[in-house]
Amino acid sequence: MKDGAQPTEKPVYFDDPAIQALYQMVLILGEELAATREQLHTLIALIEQGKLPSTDAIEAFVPDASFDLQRADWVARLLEPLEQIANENKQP
Amino acid sequence: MTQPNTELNRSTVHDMSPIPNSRDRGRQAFIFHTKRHLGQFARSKLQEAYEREAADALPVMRSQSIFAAWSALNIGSQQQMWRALGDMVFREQSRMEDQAKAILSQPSVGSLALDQQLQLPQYFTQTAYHGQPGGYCLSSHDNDWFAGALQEAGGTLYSRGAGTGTKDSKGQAVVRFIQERHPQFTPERLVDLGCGYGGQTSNYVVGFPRAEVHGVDLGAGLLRYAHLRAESLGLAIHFKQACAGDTGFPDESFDLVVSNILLHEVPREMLDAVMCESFRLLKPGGLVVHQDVPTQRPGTPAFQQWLSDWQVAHNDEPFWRSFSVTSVPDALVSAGFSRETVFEAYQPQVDGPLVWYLVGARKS
Repeated sequence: MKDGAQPTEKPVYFDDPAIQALYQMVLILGEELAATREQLHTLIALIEQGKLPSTDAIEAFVPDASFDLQRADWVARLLEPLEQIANENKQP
Repeated sequence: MTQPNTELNRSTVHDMSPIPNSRDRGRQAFIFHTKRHLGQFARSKLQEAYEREAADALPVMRSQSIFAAWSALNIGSQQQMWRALGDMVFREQSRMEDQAKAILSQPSVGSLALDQQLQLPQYFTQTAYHGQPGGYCLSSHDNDWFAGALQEAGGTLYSRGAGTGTKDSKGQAVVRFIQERHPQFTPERLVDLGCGYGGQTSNYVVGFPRAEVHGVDLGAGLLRYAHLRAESLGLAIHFKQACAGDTGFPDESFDLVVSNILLHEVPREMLDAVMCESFRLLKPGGLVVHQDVPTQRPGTPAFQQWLSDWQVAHNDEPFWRSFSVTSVPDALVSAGFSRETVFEAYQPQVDGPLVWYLVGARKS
């Protein structure tokens, strides 16, 4: 199978499909920012350790567990508006 | 060559593993935390809203902004996952091809038998399981292992996002079950039907070190990768391209037949064919154990059922629904197994919140 199978079209959840596209754009932006934050964190950590931030040093760097907590916190902040929608849905 | 490992789990790294760079690491961590957060949100706020509405039908839920927002983000995170992993494997392709050549230049401990004449069933060529680009059938040239690399990377990240830890393995769950229920059972020859990239098959080599281990799948791209992966780990596995319902092995040639997460990915008629093939392949006294998702577990809460239905509707799982209403024990009996030898069990993950469904029988 040269080209293989392709995923099915997914349901659209909003009257205006552009809103769903906007959600996708936000995720793409979030992911790109996460990649940039990862590299920035690495650069700062290497400089603080007095190391030259070469490509090899950047790729060999392993963030510690506290940085993973920062990643989780940042995603939680990004998705915080979901909580607001849930709370508004609770109103009679 | 990597040395054989007695702790093969979801974090096992081998010579064919793509190596994430710092950007990959950031992207994948973002997807992992997004999936984890959306899962936690589902089990709290979404479930509250569901129970408040006492709704049980998808169209009702779709009208509410909370379900719409959660669904849009969930769909998006799955699409982003495949894009991020695809980018990583594409970037790593050249290095991985060199690794493949190095692995194949060494004496092999297992084997790979592909069948270019095999007619792939339509359901297989038309399904991009879990949204994986190209699906399991992707094989664009004679050395293409891309589908297998993507399946392993996607399965690992998806499972972590769903809360499954690195220590859990579906194959290990089956091995543990057999060792607990049948401590004297030591298979000499076993086959893993629908083995995919060979991740679970590896656990049967470790769990039953005296057994000759075979893996069968329809996907050539999966099997090429499975072979390279197993060789790099020093695991003797014999992979064969064939249909799980018609493997071409001789009658009564195995002591143990297993499958992992195969049954919910095939149409009903194929499930019946897999049961018949399991019966045909087993020697008298042999054991069959199929492992899958617990779609029929008694007492499943309504909201959990709604979440399962969501997966069916959004994650390219066209056969999940038919599996959820199929009695696998009845299918085993129809295939020739005695009713009194048929068993069902629900095995909790060792490192995660889920429960696996195990169903099988012993050939008299």
